[in-house]
Amino acid sequence: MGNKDKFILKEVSIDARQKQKILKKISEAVEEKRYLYHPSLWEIFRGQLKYISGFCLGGQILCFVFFVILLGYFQRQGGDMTEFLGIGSGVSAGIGVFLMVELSRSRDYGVAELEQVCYLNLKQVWCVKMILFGSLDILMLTAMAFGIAGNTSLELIRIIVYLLAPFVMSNVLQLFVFTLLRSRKGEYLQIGAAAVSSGLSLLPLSDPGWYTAAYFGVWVCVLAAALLFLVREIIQVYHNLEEGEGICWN
Amino acid sequence: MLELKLDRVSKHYKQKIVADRLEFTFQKGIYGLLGENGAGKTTLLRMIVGVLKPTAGEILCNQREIGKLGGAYRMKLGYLPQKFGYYPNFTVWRYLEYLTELKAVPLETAGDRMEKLLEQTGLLHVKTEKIKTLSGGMVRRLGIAQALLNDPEILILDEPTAGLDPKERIRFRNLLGSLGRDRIVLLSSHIVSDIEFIADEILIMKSGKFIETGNQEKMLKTVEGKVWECLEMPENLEGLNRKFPVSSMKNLKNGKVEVRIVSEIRPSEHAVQAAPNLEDVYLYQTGGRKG
Repeated sequence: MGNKDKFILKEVSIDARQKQKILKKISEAVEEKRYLYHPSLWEIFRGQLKYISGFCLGGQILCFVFFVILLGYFQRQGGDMTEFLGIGSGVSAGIGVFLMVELSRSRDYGVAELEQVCYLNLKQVWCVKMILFGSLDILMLTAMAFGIAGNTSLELIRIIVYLLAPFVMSNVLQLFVFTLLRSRKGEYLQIGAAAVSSGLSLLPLSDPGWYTAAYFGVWVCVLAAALLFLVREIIQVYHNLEEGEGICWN
Repeated sequence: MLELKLDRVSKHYKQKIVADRLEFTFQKGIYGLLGENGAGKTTLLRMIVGVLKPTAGEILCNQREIGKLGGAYRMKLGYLPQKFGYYPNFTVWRYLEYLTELKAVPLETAGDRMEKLLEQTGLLHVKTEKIKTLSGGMVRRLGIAQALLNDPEILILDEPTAGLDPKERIRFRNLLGSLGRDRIVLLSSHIVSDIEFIADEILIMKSGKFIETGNQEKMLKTVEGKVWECLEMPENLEGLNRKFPVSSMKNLKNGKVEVRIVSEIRPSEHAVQAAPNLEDVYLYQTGGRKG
C-alpha cells in the first residue's frame, strides 16, 4: 500500500486527431454486420437438403429403389431387356416431376418474393435444388444404362440416348407447364404433365423396331432438339425470376 | 454513411406507368410511404428490394447500383411483403430457422436472435406450433420477426400493420421505435395514423409519383388554413360531401353532425378553422382538392 502513488497517472495528454481516427475506426467496425457470414458451398447444400419436402426427395429416392428392384427382377427372370429399356424410359420421363413440384413450392405458397430478397436468393436456391435432384437423376440414369448394357447387345451410347431422349423431353414439357402455372392446384397439372410424358415414352415399346440402329439417328435428333428447348426453357425461367415475373402475381 | 438513392426510377407494365421517374434519397431514419391502393407503393418497394427491375433509372445503395451489389446488398435487407407467404406445415421456429439459413445468419447467433425476436413480437409461446394454426395477426407478427432476423440496415415493410388489431399495432410501433434510428426503415401504409406515429419523414404517392415529401411539420404547413370544422344538419351532408373533401364526420347527441372539411375556401358560414393533422394532408394531396 505504501507505493500506491506509482499507479496514479498524473497527466494524460489526448491527441484529439488520433482519438477521432480511432473512434471512426470503431464506428466502422460497428457498422460491419454482426449477424452475417458467407456460408460455404457445402453449408448451402446441407442447409437446402434439410428443407426439401419429404414428398419430393422421398419420391425421387423411391423411384430409384423401384428401378433397382425392377432391374434385379428382369435380370433374374432373364426377361427381354428391350422391354425393360422401354419401362426405364417411362420412369426416367416421370422422375423430373419431383424437382418441378419442389421448385414450385416457393411460388405456390407465396414465399418466392421473400426468398428472392434473401442473401441466398430464390435463383440460387433453385440452382442448388436443380443440382441436387439432377445428380440423383443422373445417378439413376447411369445405373439404368449400365444395367441394360450389361444384359443386352446394345452399345452403351445407344442406351444412353434411348433413356435421355424421353427424360429431356419430359423435362421440357414440365418446365413449360411450370412457367404457366400460378396457383397451388398447379402441382396436379405438373404431375399430370409428368404422367403424360411417361405414357408417351412407353410408345416405342409398341414396336421394338424403334430401338434398332435404323432409327438411332431419329433418337439423336430428338434428343438434340429437346436439349435446345430445355436450355431455352431454363433461360426463360431464370429471366422471369430476374425480371420479377413469376414472383409477383398481384 | 448509409444512403439509398432513387435515381429517376420508372416502372412500366406495357402502357401503364406504375412508377414515374421517382427521385429521392433515403438516409438513416424511418420513412412512411402513404398512398391509395394502386398508387405504386408496392411496386416501388419491390424495386427497392430488387424483386422487380426498374424499366428506367437506377436504385443506388451507397452510390452503387443494387443489382450489381447482389448478395452484398441483400445482406443488408429485411423485407416484409404485402402478401407474406409461409410454408403452412412449418413450425414458427423451423420457418425462422429456414430463413436464417437463407439470410446467412450463423447458427451460433441465430438461436438467440430468433428467441429474442419471438419474444419481442409475442410469439415465443407458439414457437413449436405450425404456422397454419396461427391467427392472421400472429402470422403478420411472424412476418415482422423474420424481417428483422439479420438485423437489417435497410428494412422495408409493405403494409406491416394490415391485419393487426389496435393492441398489436401499438406493439409494432414500439418494436419499430426500439430498433433505433441507425438504419433505413421504409414502411408503406394507407393507414395514416400508423405513419403519423412512427415516421420521421413522409412520402405521399399518387399515380406512380411522389406528390409530397417531407417531415410532418412541413406536411402540415401545406394544409394550414385549409382545414375547417362545422356543425351541420344531416340533410346538408350530401351537398357538402359533393362539394368538399370531408375528412371526418361525427354524430352529436343534439342531432347535428360535426364535419371536418379540407378546402381552400370556407365551406359554410358556420365553419371555423381547425388545426390540421396528417389525415387532412393525405386527403388534400391525394385528390381532395375540391372546393
